[in-house]
This record gives sequence, structure tokens and C-alpha cells, in this order.
Amino acid sequence: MKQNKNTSSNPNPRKASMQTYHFLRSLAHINLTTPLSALHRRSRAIRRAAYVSMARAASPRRMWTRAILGRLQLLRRGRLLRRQRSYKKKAISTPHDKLRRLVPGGEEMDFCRLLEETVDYAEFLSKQVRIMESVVVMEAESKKKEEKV
Amino acid sequence: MNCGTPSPDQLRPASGLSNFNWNQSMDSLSPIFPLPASGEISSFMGNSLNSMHVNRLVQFPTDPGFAERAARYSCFSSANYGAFSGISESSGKPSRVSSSHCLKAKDSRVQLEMGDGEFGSGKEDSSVTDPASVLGESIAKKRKAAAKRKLKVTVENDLIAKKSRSTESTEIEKDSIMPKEEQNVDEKKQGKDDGAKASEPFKDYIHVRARRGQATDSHSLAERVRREKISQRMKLLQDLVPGCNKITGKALMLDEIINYVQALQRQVEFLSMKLATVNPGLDFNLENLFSKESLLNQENASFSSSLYPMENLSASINFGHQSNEESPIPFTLANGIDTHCSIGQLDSILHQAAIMQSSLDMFGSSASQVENLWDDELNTVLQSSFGQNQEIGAPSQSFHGQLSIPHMKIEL
Repeated sequence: MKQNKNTSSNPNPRKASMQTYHFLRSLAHINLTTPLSALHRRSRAIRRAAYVSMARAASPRRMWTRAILGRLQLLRRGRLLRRQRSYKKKAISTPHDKLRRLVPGGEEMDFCRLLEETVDYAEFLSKQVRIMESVVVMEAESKKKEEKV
Repeated sequence: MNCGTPSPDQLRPASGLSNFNWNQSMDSLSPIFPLPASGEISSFMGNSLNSMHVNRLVQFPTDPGFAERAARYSCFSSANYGAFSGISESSGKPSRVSSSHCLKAKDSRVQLEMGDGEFGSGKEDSSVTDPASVLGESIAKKRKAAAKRKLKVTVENDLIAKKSRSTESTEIEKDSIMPKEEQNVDEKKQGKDDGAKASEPFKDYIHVRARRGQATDSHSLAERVRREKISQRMKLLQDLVPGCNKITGKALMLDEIINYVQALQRQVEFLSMKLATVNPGLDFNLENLFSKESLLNQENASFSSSLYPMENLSASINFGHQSNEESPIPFTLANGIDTHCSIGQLDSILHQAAIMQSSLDMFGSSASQVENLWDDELNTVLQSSFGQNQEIGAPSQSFHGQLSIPHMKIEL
């Protein structure tokens, strides 16, 4: 797997660039396969790609990464289990259950663990947002250049 | 200070006596019974043997009358003590003590002194080392497992402060505040040592604890650990979520976190829709890779080395939609090695944009800002740094550019 190599010893740049790399690759793939006409499908695919690239870049020991990648596998096999969610949704109303629903894989964790996962998840999520924003900016930039030329 | 080790034997008789006293006085004092009613207090009461911070008591005044009063106080159980202090504050003197019990308690207390002394000395720098303080320590030891220990001590502190205003009033008040804070820290340390030892004898006479629902000390210990973990994690989250420094309290913090995560997810959704509408190109990939490198790494040294793998990557990934004119442009962009500072600004602006509620207009405006920034910086940088660009890099880039063009043609 090709990665952008850095001379630095800091592992974080590598992780961040891994996230970027994954996302851009999957974005490229999406742009090739799905036509522009099917916008909805495209946006869904891009969203999925964003989450998957997040999960790939993060440590697999995390619950949320496993949940996301598990969801991806299920989707691939065409057996997305939506039934379970409808059962559990309004079971217990605690102050935490909102957070549980937000964080993937947060249903069966104790609160302590949930907070840990949330920290990690929020970090990667904010990174992903930054990546996507800069992609959009670059796009606009290149378009501008194109128009100039 | 005495340096004996407190043995459970010494403590047990005291507890037995105090048990009796407690029951007696309990009846009389039940209406006045102060109820902190917090499981937390009882939990770490349960843990620590000497949680009544002996330190705190060590710093009590050297009022000779205090010694007598302390002796009287010791006759009662911990729970009572709190009530009592409340009463005594108003009445001025605890007069309900049965003298016989008091004396017996005093004897036991004296025995306790031996053991208690060492605790007091071990902790902090105690300015006061008189019998009053020792007595205070003994009181503290007996009360340690009580649910209202904290309350008691504060009340006691206040009481003592009031009574000894003539002597060292200000000092006490200051000291009482300080030890309270340390109580939490020290309690745990001590609790682990002595919790097992002296908790059992106290279990009998302190019914308050059972009422609070704290079954055993191990449970409360574990609970305390868990609670600390949670607070730790909340602090981490506080640092992560912007603008949460002022918010204190779990519930509000939790709401903030939920809002933040929801906002981020909404942004991802929105951006994915936006990206879906944009028509991508080859240059798009390279630029992004390049900018991402600098954006996230913020390193100048690795730029030249990273250019090569990027170009390889771009060559391998095949986009087919752009014209040939586009291809030289990204490479010139890539030449702008010195853009990391501008990208840093870009990053900050983007970050701010991310925090704001994402609406199309807002994003558009911020994006245009960013673009302007990019343009200016980029132009200057390109002009200045084009010459700086490593010679190895330039020819390889052009080579790659030529390489990718035929690729594109083939793909199309």
C-alpha cells in the first residue's frame, strides 16, 4: 500500500496522511464509477468513503472503527441489519444514550468506555472534516485556474 | 508525636463504646440529624480509615478548653458528631454527654492517641502538635468510616474556628480550607492501606452507611475509581471540544459533546454532498495530496521527498476527465514548497469554518476567503520559490507530467 512517506518520526502525520490517502483514493474511485447524474447515490458513497477512511486510519482496537468496518462488510454482502436498531432505539432513556447512538458501536459500552471512544471518534471526525473541506477548496481553486486559463 | 501503629484492638473498644453512645444519642438527636445524603461521601468514607483528615485536625488551635470539648465530642459517634456540632454551635456547649460514657471514651481515646499520632505527623507540616490536636486525631480516626465525615469536619472546623477566635482564628480557617481539598487526594492513599483494617469494627455502629446503600468498601472503592476515570475522560473531551472551558458539570458537558459530534457528522454529510457535485480531475488529486501533506504535517523538510511518491501516486491513479492543459499547472503548484505557512493559515481558517454552523453561504464565503489567500500567497511563493525548487525535482516533475498525459489519453 503506497503511503506518503515522511522523514519525520512522528506517527501522527503518517496517520493523518493515511486518512487523506484513503479518502482521496476512494473519492477517485467513486468519481470514476458513479456518474454525476446519480447525485444522491454519489453523495452517499462519498459519505461512506469518508467514514471508512477514518476507520482505516484509526487504530483497529477501537470499538467505533470495528463497528464502521463491520457495517461496511455487511453492506458489501448486502445484509445490512437495520432490524436491530429499530428494537433498541427507544428502550432506555438515559442521558448517555444520545451519545451512544451518535458514536458508531456505542450501544454496548459502559459510559467510561464510551467517553474514551468519543474522544477518539471526535478527533478523527474533525480531521476528516478538514480533509474534505480542503478538497473542496482545492477543487474550487483548480476550477478557478481553469477558468483563468 | 507518638509513633505507635494503630491496631484494630485499640479501635474496637472505642467503637463499641461509641456505638452505644451513638444509639443513645441517636434517639435524642434524630430530628436534628444532618443528612448529607450523598453516596459519594459515604463511599470514600468507607474507603479510608483516616479519611478524616488528621492533618486538618492537627492544625487545630491550642485552646485548652478545646481539649475538653474535643473529649466530649469524641463520646459521640461520627454521625452524631455532625449533629452535635450543629447543636453546640447554637447552644455553645454540648451538655448532653453522659459523663460516664465520656470518661470511658476518653480512656479509649487515650489509647487511640498512640496510634493516631503517627498519622498526623506523617501527613503534612503540622504547626500544632499539642494534646488537643492529638485528641482531634483520635476523634478523626474513630469517625473515619462515617458517612458524614466530611460534613462533620467542616462543621468541626467552623466550630473550632468560632471557639478559638481569640487564639488563631484566621489560621484555622485558612488551614481548614486547605486540608479539605487535600482530603480527597489523601483519602484514597490512606484508604487503601487501612480501609480493610478498621472498617469492619466500625461497620457495626455506623448504621448511616448501610442506609446510604454502600455495601462494602471494595465496591465503593471501585466506584470511586470509576468516577475518577470518567472525570478524567470528561476533561479530555473538554480540551477537544472548542469553547467548553467554562462549562462545569457532567450533564452540560455531555450536551456540548453531543452537539459537537452531531455538528461534525452533519458537516461530513454536507461536504459529501458538495463533493458529489464537483467534477474532479487529475490535478485535484495531486494538489490535495500535496496540501494535505503540508497541512497535516507542517514540515518543510519532507516536501521534496514527498513530491516523488505523490507524483508516482498521481501517475498510477487514473483520472480521465481533464484536458492536457491542466497537467502542468499542478506541478507548478507543487513547486511551491514554501506554502506551508499559507497552508497553516488555510488550515486555521478552515478549522474556524468547520466550527461554525455549516450553511452554504457561510462555507462559500470562507472558501472564497481561503481561495483569495491561496491566490496571493501562491503567486508570490511561486515566483520566489520556483528558482529554489530542487533541480532534481523539476525535471522529474516534467517527466511525470509527460508520463501522465499519455496515461490519460489511453484511459480516455
